[in-house]
Amino acid sequence: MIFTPGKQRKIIHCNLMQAALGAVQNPRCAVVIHNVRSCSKVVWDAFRSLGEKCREITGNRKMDGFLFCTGLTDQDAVFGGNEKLRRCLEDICDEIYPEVILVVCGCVPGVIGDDTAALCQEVEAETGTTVVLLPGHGFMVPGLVDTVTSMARLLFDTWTLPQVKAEKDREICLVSGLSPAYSSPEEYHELMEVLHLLGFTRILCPPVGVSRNDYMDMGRASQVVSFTRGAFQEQASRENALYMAHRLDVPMVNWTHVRTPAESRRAFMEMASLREKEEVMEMYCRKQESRLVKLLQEGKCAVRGKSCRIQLGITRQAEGLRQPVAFLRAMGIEDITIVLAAMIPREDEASIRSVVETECGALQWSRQEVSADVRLFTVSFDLRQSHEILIPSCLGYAGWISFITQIVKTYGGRDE
Amino acid sequence: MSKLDRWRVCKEETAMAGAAAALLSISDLGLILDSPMWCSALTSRRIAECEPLWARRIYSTLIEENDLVFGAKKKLLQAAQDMRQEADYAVMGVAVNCGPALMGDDIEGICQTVTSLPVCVSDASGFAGDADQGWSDAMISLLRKVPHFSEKKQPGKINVIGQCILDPASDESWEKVLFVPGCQPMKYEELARLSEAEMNLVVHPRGLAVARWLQEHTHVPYRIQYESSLCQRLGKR
Repeated sequence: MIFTPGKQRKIIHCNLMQAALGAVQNPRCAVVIHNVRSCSKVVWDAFRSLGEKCREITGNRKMDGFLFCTGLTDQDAVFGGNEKLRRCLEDICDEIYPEVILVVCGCVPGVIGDDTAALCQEVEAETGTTVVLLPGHGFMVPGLVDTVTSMARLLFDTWTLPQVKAEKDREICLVSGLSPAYSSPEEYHELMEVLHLLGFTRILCPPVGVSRNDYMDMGRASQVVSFTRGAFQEQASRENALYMAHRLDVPMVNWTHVRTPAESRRAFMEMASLREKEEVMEMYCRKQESRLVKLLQEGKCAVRGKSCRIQLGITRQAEGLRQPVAFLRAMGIEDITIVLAAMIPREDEASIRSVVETECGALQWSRQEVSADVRLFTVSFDLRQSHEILIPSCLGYAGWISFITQIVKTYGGRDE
Repeated sequence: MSKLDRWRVCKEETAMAGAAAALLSISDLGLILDSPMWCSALTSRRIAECEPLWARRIYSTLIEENDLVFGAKKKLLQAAQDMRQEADYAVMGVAVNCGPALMGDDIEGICQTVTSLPVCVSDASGFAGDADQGWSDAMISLLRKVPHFSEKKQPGKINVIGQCILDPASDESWEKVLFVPGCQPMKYEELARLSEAEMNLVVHPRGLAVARWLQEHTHVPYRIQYESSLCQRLGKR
């Protein structure tokens, strides 16, 4: 594996888990997992955890939709699974009358080669219920295809495109790519606050919690924001946002790579000038910047001269070290060691060092754990490190304010 | 009953997790998950939640689309070689997931070309059933690899069959228990001593097929007692 800065590696993930997001906070959506039954356990777990996280972050207690599984057996693998899928779809239409049924295939229908697309069209014609087949078959997902963005795009094509209006509503904004489940609460709330300050009162983030009526209203949206976090394929998300903006004939801004306070100020002010809200946005940015400066001053008194260890969990996060290193130095921490986690390949070391040191200047590097006063890490999914402070990678100011506050609070005591 | 009941999703553990839990209970076994990256990652994470050290013995073929067409032999050999270089295992376990199960590669034959270790292959695909079925099938495939069971007997001693780290019961120790296969860490060679027990106590339905197999092949009778805690059942001091 060779790390090329700025280039993505292919990450093979299963399309099933993200499909669960379609049913989160959307009581009239049914998701059908067309595969063996045990795979639906994975989707069920994702559905519960992503749903709970979305509820926590958005404060929206809307009911969730439904998950079903065709439960393919070895016999179906031999004789085909289409009949089972048809029965399942018909039963769902008969019993719960959903607005849409999202069908997601696992690896078994992919290997046996069932024509599920034709079947979905047939059932849609027979029942009158919208049936959408999501791309991919389990781990067999075409490059640059992401289930979440595909889901939003397919529903946009089905429901929004026929409703595109020449007259736009200045208060409707479409955020393409963002699911609250993949953002931090601070970042999500700040994004919403900024968009409100910019005059948007209706912010739609498909596919989570977005109904058919919302998709139809998107036809009057006056702005598209591309914003991607976490598991999304960034390029797919940006292309999707561009596609939607073209179809709606409205401007699109890309905020995916906005990850520092300085970049955030530029991005916010740029949009504010388009929306004629410069004054209010300037006030907002100044207020946040003065909070940051005050906190850094406090940090200087509390942690100056201490040593710091940053554990870099995965290669691609090397690019996100510039801002935290700058903040640490602003607080008087000069002794900084970057510890490369075991899962980072040896071949990547030189590239990582070159990327980080070009931006941050000389640092200390280690493959082994080192002792340090302040301990930070970059990957949230490493359970063993969960007591340490996670370096944010976020739009706006709130994530960074929370990060510095945590450092001061946790490590601000006097040395023994 | 609603007609939608038959389409309900699975809320139990997967067969892959059950098989991995059973196979990794053998402390000198290295396990290859013959599966795509995502299924391997989820299985490994599930095991790590229960026993972090066990997860270090997990390897994966990380199969991709092309492997379904051309076969995953090369990747399986690579994983087997990596495993051999990394540690001195006494036995190799392979848990096979849905995709490779449909391909039908001769997994044992392929692995035997690069290792002289016994290779224990278990079907852990979604077709096999749930975690209990995966656990049970994996345990039996392990027992099939035991060359000779011990002829000795330890009067009064019993094996507890059916406990699994994914669904832990009591972690206290008992006096009369010889082994708790599939849960308590054992060496591969110790599997041969399962026959030394006077009786096998089946504490969960997943253990029944294993106990039957042991009765048939080692003549150790079994008793089923699913209810109440193990401590009470075994008259702990």
